[in-house]
Amino acid sequence: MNPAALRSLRIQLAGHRQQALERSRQRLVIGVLLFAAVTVLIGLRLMDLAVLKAIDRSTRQPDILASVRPPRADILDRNGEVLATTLKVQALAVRPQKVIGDKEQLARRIVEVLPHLELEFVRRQMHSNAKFRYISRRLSPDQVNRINALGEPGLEFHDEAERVYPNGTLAAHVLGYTNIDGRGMAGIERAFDARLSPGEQLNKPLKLSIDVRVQHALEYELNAAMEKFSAIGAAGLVMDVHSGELLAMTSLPAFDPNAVSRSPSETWFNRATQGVYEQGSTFKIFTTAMGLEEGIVTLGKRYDVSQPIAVGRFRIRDYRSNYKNLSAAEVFMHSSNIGTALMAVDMGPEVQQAYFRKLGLLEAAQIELKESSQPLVPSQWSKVSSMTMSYGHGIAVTSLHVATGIATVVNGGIWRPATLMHVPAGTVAATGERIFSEQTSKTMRELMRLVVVQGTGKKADAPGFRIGGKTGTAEKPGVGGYQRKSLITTFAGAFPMDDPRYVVIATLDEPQGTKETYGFATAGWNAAPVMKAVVQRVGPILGVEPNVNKDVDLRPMQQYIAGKQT
Amino acid sequence: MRYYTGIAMALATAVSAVVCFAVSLEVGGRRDEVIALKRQIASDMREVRRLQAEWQIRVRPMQLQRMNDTYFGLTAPTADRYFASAESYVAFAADANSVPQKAQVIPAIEQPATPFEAPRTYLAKATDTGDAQLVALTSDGPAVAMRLPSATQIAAARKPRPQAPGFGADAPKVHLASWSDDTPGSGRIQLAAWTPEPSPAPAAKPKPKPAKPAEAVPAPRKETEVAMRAPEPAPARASAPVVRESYAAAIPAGAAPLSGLDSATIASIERLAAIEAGTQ
Repeated sequence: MNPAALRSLRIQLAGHRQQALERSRQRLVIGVLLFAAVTVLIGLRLMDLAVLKAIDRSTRQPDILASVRPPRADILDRNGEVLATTLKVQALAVRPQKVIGDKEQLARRIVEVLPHLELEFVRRQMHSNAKFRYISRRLSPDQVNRINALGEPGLEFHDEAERVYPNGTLAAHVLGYTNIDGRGMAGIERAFDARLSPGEQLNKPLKLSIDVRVQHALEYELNAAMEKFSAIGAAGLVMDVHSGELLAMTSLPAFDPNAVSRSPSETWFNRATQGVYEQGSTFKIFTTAMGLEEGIVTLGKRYDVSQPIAVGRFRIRDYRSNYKNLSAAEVFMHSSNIGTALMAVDMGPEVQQAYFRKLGLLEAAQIELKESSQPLVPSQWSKVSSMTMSYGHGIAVTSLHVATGIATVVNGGIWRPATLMHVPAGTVAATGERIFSEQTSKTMRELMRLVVVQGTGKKADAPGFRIGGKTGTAEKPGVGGYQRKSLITTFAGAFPMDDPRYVVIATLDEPQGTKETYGFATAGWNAAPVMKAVVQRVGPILGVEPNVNKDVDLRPMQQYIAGKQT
Repeated sequence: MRYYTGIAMALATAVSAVVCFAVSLEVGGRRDEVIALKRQIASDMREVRRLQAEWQIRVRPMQLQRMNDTYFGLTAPTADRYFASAESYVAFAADANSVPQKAQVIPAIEQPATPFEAPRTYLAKATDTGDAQLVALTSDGPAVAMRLPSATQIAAARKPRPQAPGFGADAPKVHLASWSDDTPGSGRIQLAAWTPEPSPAPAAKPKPKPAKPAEAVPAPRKETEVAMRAPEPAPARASAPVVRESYAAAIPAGAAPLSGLDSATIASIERLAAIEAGTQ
């Protein structure tokens, strides 16, 4: 090769090297960039996971403490005692397709732990074609542990809420109950289902006007009376006369809200708000009060009660027929049907109807509960029905109606609806409607006290508590007219009569006479002692101090009352 | 120079990486702790709810009533067991035959501090002044509550020093009962009563020690304190400052001051004593 050609080749070669070098450098840059890109990508992803996702997670993650919140709000009494609460329990379920062990053996082992289950039932659930089957609800923690120890992945536990009523049957009709899905089915649970269900107020327990201690005293004494007089049922109320708050309300026999289905179905019925009964002589309170208010009745006005009144096919007669001529005060004191019917005649049906309407006796009693019955009122407000209604026959209302009415009569004359909601002290009670004057209310208080001091309600007199009230005995309607032997006896009263604070109603359904009552089964013998016993127990609790030196001044009454009449 | 800068930067990077990792590890650990704590709190809160429900079930009024009917027989105070006025209280307190004027807290049923402590009923808690509950045994009921007037009311009533008619000989006397824990397992009930005779100055009596109130039961007079034994024979205490004999013997027929306990109450206290002593 000549040198010239060699030189040119060298140049050429140098150009090749140059090019190769260039290319490899480019490749290197691409490689570096690739690596850098991957690194950046990983870094970004790390950042995403560690920072952004973490923030996201921490905000999205449900608050652990929120899981403690009960799925249904608690119900408390007026002093904060728990009446209904919700606990977390666990339920056992099986996913038959996921069971890996021997199903027969597994079923046997489950029954060993849960002896209340039938082996056949568990086996059926195991072999079911369904994806998911419940085996048992309400397991104890110990049972959960033992089933967990079986180590079967096909078995599952589910958190479930269980409504617990710690006081058992106490105030059952007030509280009501919930079904297995936690929906309120009766009582407060039903009436306030939305309020108690998950929502804004879930953490705030619902505070009732009920006082557990008063409720218990009332139920205990009514139960005792039911047993003593072989009654088939009883109802009772304790109500604040000024606010309309119900401190106790009971219907006996009661059901256990923890196991409603195990209680007989007749116990589900709330006698105090659903049971409409003819209330008998307690209605004389209303008749006398409206007569006084209208100025038609004065305490000294005399009524001829010597003869039964024959009106239509009825004969209005007195329980004791040895009175001749009674003053209005005596008519009330001795509970004369004839005298009260004569008052109603003087007043006329229109006045009576107007007052009954104002007292809320013609519509379902006002209360938060949905179990509130319409009263039974005659379709025609005739003279006859007006006369019988004056002493509580021919009109059937609930005990709650009577309690609200009596609260109106004794509290100074202002009608307020009954309530089961706690009215905190100091808050203004629901605005009421004035029905009776202060003066009428005062006179009625004296009359009611008179009944207990000298009249039919002597057995209700608890020393020092200044109880006043009225007995009422009504025959239950049955096949072919009234049944003289099946009675509904009521004592409706209030205490202390010099400044009434609480209305108490005690009703017994079909009480029987006993040796101590000389065979009598009327209210003065069986319902009045309940009143006394209840007031003696709840009076001190409610801050009513018994004082034998203090009483309603009955001296103005004495001029209208003759000595022993024969 | 550039060589060292590079090393320094590499070192700084390594160190900061390690520090950052440590911090994030620490944060993670703390977060786990917080979560664990929250879980614990949640489980505790659930437990609290459960215990509340259980407590409520155990103290349901029906249950308390049963226990009261079985062991204590306490009844609602009747009208005659309230002081009508501050004057009547002052007269009552001034009466040497009535409850001593010094502050006293005497549990009705005092027992050793066991994990399963029975409810204590304070039969007497009379303080010289202030609002307090005076619960005592009287002739017609096992335990009563008497409301005491406030300090100012008492002071007002004291000024025109009343003639202090006191309570007559037939007035209800205050009987105090306490559970004695000095001889374990003995199941002894101490009953103290104030006799119509004037008792020694109340101030001389030992002040009740809060820790062991049972010892504070003052014995105004030897013969007025009696001990009641559980069915199981209890060892006699040498240092006993009182004459101990069986309860029945301590009450002569028709003796007024000590007849305050009716037979049913005595029976229930005896039964409780027997149960506490483990014989039943």
